[in-house]
Amino acid sequence: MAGIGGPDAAAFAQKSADALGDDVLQRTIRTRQDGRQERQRQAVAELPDWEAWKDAVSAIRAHTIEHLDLYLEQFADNVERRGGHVFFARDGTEARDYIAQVASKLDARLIVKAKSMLSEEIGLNDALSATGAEVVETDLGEFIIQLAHETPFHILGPASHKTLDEIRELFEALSGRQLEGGPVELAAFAREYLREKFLIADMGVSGCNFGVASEGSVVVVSNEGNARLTTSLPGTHVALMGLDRLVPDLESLGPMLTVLPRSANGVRSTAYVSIITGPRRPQDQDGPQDLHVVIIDNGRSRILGGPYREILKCIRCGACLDNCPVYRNIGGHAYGPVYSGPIGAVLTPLLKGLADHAHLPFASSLCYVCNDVCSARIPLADYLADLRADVVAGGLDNRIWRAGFRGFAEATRRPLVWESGLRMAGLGLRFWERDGVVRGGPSLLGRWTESRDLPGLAKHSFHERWRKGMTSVPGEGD
Amino acid sequence: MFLGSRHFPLSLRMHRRGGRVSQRVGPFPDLREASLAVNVSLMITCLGDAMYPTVGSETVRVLTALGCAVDFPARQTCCGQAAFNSGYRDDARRSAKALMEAFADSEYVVSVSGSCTAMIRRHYPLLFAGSPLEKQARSLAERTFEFSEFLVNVLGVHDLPVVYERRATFHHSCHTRRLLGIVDAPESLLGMFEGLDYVPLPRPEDCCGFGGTFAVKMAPISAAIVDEKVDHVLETGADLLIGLDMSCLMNIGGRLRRRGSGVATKHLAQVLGEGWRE
Amino acid sequence: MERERLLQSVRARLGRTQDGGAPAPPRFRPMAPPFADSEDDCVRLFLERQAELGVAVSAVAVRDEAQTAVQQLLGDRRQRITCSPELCWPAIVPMWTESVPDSDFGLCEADWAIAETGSIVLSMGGLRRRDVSLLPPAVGFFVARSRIVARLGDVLRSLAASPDSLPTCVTLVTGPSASADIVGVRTLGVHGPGEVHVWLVENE
Repeated sequence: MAGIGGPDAAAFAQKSADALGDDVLQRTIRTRQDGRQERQRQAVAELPDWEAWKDAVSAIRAHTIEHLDLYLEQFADNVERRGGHVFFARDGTEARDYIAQVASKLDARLIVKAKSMLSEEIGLNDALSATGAEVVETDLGEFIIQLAHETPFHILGPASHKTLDEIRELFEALSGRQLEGGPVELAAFAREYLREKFLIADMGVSGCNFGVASEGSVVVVSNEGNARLTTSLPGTHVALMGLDRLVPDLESLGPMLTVLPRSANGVRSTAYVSIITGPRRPQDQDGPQDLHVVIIDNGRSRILGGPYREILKCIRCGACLDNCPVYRNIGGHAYGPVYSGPIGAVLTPLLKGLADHAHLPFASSLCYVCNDVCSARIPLADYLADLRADVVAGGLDNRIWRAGFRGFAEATRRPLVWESGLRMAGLGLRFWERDGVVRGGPSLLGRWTESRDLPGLAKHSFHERWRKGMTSVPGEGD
Repeated sequence: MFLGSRHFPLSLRMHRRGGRVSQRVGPFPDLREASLAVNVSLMITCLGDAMYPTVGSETVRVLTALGCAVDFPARQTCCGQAAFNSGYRDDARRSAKALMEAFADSEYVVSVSGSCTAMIRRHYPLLFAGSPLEKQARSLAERTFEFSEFLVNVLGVHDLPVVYERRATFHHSCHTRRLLGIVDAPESLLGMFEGLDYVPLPRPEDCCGFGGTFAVKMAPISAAIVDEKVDHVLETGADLLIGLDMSCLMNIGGRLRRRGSGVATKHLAQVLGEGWRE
Repeated sequence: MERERLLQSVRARLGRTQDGGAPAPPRFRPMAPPFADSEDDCVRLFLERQAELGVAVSAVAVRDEAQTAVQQLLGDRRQRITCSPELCWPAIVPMWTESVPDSDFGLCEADWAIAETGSIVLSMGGLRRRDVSLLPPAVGFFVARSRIVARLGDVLRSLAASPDSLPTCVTLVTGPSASADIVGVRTLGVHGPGEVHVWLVENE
């Protein structure tokens, strides 16, 4: 990729090349995408008013973002009223410090975690480990990649790139014994191993799919049950919530919980949805005594009120990844940590700065399928195009491209220049043409012809044919 | 009605393959009564101009056979889509302004490319929003049509004197499908052919991986995407891939050739023109 | 104070000075569900969903029958049951254990059941422990017919109806615990119960 972005761009180029060359990975991603797409289609077919449901998600989330200050206040007040603690973290550092402090005060030895992209975003695990606690990921996919020391491959399927043998090896190394069997047996091992952790953990850290402002409730969805265990067994529950992840009230949850599972997994509902309101009350038999809700900004407030504000409507369903042709071929790691696919290509530059991520908006063929499938009607492809304009406006683009496009634009305003330009280009191409087909060539031409043939330019442009009254249809073998 | 440019010279010989004079097809109620042809300006697009003038010629022939008076505003060059998609909005506006001027007097503009049509309809109003040229942009957006949708939705074509005995499949381009909502029009036109052995493409909604400069900026990824598309084309057993966008066909065709396949690629207008019988 | 600082920056970005409540959030009224809203249809659909989810479901006339079925299930397998004391009945006392982590079967009363998704809704707090429906490898629910509603929205509206009355934890359970994180193959009982039973009590 011609000179855009910094070290992350180089990493992107390397990792995408690796992914393209990895046949097993290619097959894995495609199978997963195909399966997801099919299930999504079926789930969606069941709801004749599916599009109206997505409109509802979009409208509710847009409304919430528009009045985020009011809803945040309401939410925080309600959490506190129920006996929970609220901490507003401007960035990852503040969040990590606060949570580490909570852990230290508890003298937490063991911390269990349910899946949270936000915890990845702020690098929480390392900060907690530094307090001396053992931090264990409990979502099966996250557990696997924690053992493998990797980052998630997909928002919903963090270990979707791992093979059965790779997973078996990881579990055998952990258990110190041989493990026979397939997915069922390996999952049984994970259950047994992690159950012990759950029962003695001092603290549970979870994400928060939605915060309900009117009640101060934290909503966590899961299929495995690890989120329930994480938020019910340890004495302290810390819930991480992105600044934008609110809905106004309980009724607003309806469209969210209808669309999210269908878009994400093609199911009518996840196995578990927990609506948690405050820590244990005096009359409760179980549940955590302490609840801390950590509300994290980390760049989100900068997006509010700006041209990209609709990105904050995202409900993290993963449908854009599941349908993206680029993701289909390069997987999640190439996009960098945390967010990948179309949502990642937009959100990462917005949260972490365009200068270091100027390559991401270009990792798209602008096919617009993400616009179509987005649960919250975020104009993702339009945002990618807008970010490209920002790259140019910020001078982050390649000077040669800039000059090239300027030259091209000037030629399009001058028909005579245009026509002679075409003639010259045609002559130039002839240099690499054999039997009417172009195969070699330098620079951009070479990049095309590396994998594709190219027809030569037509002998006479359409302009020329029209002007000269050439009425017959040019013979061309195609 | 002043058309601004001379007509493409008609030669009856062009239409008389079978010996009979071309018939008008489709109802254009108002126009029939007034005995006026539909006035169409051809938008050849930069790619068509440089590499696929055949598509232009065939489009003119077909439109003429369908009762249109076709002209070619000679100042047209490029809609600016590539510049827009690469983030060069000012450059896109330069090209767009020139294009709007070229077609200022056109009643209907028919483009041989769905993506260029989408550029004009979807992006021109946004590119010029709040500027003195906004009205002009909206005006062009309202008058511009992609070839197949023009035939079906404006001319109301419901049957065609086309014989085309070949096994063929069809690629709906992403912008044509998703930005213009054109899915049924080309399929219904193909359904009017006699002799066509039509095989639907597997995973028809998949992108071909062209994406304009994406194809060279991220060539290896683009190549991987088009490879899968080529697999699907080959699966159909067709010897011809028909489409509405030469950029996609150039991309898929280029990869087909490189993989040693003899499967041809043609624009729908070419197929109509070649198969037209009187 | 971090809270005020952050809220200020949010307000600034939204171009708002303090105060003023939010206008009411947009409401969505879904089309009539594919099934008619009659109670019979809801019940029928709810039962169908259990089958689709791989839940062992039976409809019984009275609660006694459901209790007998539970006894038989546990007795045959010589299993230990845990449940909220209010749900207990004499015959299961010998099989009952207070130690939830050691039990084989957790029994709960459904507060609601949703026909469209086949979900069981549990309001937990007070004597209703969270872990009863979570720790044992198998779990069972008694569902009174009168508690079946058509859609999720109905439950949410009921929960919202009386202000400040939300229990500490409301959980919707839809089928068994499952994961496909290992090579995309669906496995049950990864953390939560892999085996789920539902007894629909018709006369309640």
